[in-house]
Amino acid sequence: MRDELPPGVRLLAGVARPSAEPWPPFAPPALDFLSALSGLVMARAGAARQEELAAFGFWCRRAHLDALAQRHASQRPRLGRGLLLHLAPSNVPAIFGYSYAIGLLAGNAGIVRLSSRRGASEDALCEMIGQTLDRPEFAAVKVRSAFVSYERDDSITEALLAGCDGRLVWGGDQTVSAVRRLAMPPHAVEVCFADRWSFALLSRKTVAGLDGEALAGWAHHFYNDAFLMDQNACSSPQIVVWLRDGGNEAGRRRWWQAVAKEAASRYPADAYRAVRKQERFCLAAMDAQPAPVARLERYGGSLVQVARLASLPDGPVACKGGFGLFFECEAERPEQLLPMLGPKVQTVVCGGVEPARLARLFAEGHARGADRVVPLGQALAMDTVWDGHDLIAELSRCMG
Amino acid sequence: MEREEWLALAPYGLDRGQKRALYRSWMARLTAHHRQCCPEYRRLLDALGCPEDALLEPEELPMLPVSLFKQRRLCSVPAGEVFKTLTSSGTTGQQVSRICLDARTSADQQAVLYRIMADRIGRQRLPLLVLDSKKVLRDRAMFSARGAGILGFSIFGSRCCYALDDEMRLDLAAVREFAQKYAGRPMLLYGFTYIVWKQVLQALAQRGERLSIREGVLIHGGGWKKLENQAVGPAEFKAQAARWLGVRQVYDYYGMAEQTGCIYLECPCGHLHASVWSDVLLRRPADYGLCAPGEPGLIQVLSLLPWSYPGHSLLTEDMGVLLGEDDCPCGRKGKYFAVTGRVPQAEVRGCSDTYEG
Repeated sequence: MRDELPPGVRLLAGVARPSAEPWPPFAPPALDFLSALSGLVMARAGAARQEELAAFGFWCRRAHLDALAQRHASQRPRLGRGLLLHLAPSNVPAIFGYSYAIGLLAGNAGIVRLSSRRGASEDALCEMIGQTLDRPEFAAVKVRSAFVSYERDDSITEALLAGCDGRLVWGGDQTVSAVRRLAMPPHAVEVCFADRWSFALLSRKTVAGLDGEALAGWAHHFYNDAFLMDQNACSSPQIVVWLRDGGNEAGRRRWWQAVAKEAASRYPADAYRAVRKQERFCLAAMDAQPAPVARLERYGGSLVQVARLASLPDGPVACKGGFGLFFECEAERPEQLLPMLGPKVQTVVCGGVEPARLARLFAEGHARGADRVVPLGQALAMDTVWDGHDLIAELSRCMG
Repeated sequence: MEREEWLALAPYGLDRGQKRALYRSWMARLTAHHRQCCPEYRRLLDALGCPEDALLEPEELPMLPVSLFKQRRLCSVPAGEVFKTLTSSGTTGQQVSRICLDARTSADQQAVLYRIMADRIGRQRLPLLVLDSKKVLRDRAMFSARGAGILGFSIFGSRCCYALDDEMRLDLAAVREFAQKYAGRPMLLYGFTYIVWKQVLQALAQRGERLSIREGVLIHGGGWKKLENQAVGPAEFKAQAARWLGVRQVYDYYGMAEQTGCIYLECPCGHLHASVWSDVLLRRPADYGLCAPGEPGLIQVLSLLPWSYPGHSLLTEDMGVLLGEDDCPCGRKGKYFAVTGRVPQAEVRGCSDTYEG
């Protein structure tokens, strides 16, 4: 079957022509396969200290899959859509793995296109997936799986799409626009992930009340949310909004010092990142977006830079911090955030604010944006509900 | 010191104390001018909390990353006074810098380049062998720092010959004729480092053709980045230039489209020198603190010339090392340094990218 791949397409794992037979969501063979993969990835990635891969392995563990199955339990019979094409980005390790796994859990076969510029950790994960698929007991999953790579070529993507029942498009506005131009069978569904940005809401009062150890713990979580992806992921917080519910200025400084301390021990502050950070600050200050920058504070040398906005943005904003550059402003009440919740806002990371309460408040306020409201440390945690989509529901169909 | 006075200075005549005094006052004037006339720059300085009337030491000046000129058009003179927009030579697909030049800035750039070169080749015009193609000037799409460099250096030429044809092939007959015509007399050769190496020296080597331009002075710039993969360094470059062109004086220079004119020319001791019209500071990437002499860091460049755009204090993406100040064995005053390469591009993560690759 290998010879049936279009020229220029390399098969990295699985089979060239995956079967499009739909399975019910959370079918036992899919769960067995993913939990076997989980064991392999956690063992190898743990040893190699590849944090993102280890997190993916942990996500695929049996107990978590069972919990997801429960959450997505459906009254009516459900089946996957059939065959999905996954277009994954080159610079977020493991996204292709999550995309494939979620498609599989929803009952679908999948063709996963990896970027030709992918990094070493993607290759490592792809190899582990291939190895697991090759085990005889997972033959039924293997015939539903293809991992391929090719240079950007619309005719190849279109040829692959012709046999698909849906597509998942990661990688932001440009990719989404480019892929939207490509035809798909009329019945096929798509889930596209556009450019998004995220912010954090911290309670001044709660942060001020943290003892040294707790503060370091919070800083650790915040580091994971922001720095692990160079603050470039859609879910990485760009702005920190302080809720003025008590506390004081000293507590605010103490917070950034704790973040800088955490970053000093973990973040690769190389010259390239330093220059990019300086550039982004200058652009934000020159453009006065999202609001005029009133002042700049530095913590830990230039490791953490905090650009204080003159006011809370009063409209939808797009915001580009990065590499340890944060914007900062204050709000008296969470309701004041509503005007800035445009459709580009993805995640609100909460510290000292109850996420469920905040989500309700945003919903009651008819917010245009903010799809995820999560506790500190969970910004990058992948979920079957993402960007406001219930992926299991959208990637399957119900009967009755 | 007024502008006419510092324009007339000897290129390497100021010691540390004198230069610091000049820069303290002129950098403040330039900063105030750009702050008043360039709204983007004003907003940046406001954000940095830079007081209006601050008399800053040179190392305290705000610095703009050079890459900003690729993202914004920054201008400090009325649009009607911009008579030329210089673009940097970006590689294909990359954005290029756009530098707005008015008559004053452009004239100062020419004057300063002339003074720096006169220090090396004297004030007389020399026959000029351009180690590039004339097409670089004709083709507007190609007109860039390379074209600007050739135009800038052409003022030193009494007669001019282009060594490469429109297809960038060595025009050996023309070069041979030009070399013979002015044999035994001083001659200036100018080109971009990579093009000199690839299109001239290697082409001569392939043909086994050795020229004998013994009184020639070869000035080349544009960086070593493209030659790094081929493991060609300054010593090898000089040796090959001597072997195939016969030139014994070969000088590299460091310069950029964002600060044209005040180039950093290599001295006979092999050091790049800051003239009185510009200066370098080496910065630690971690906190932008100043590097100790000998410690590699990011190169910040100061220049007295940029009037029409806020480019008097720039953070480059080049790494370098300060070698000394006022004490180079060649006798020139001021700082001397070496460029060690570009900031290596790190693998940066994020969601926004996929389908291209």
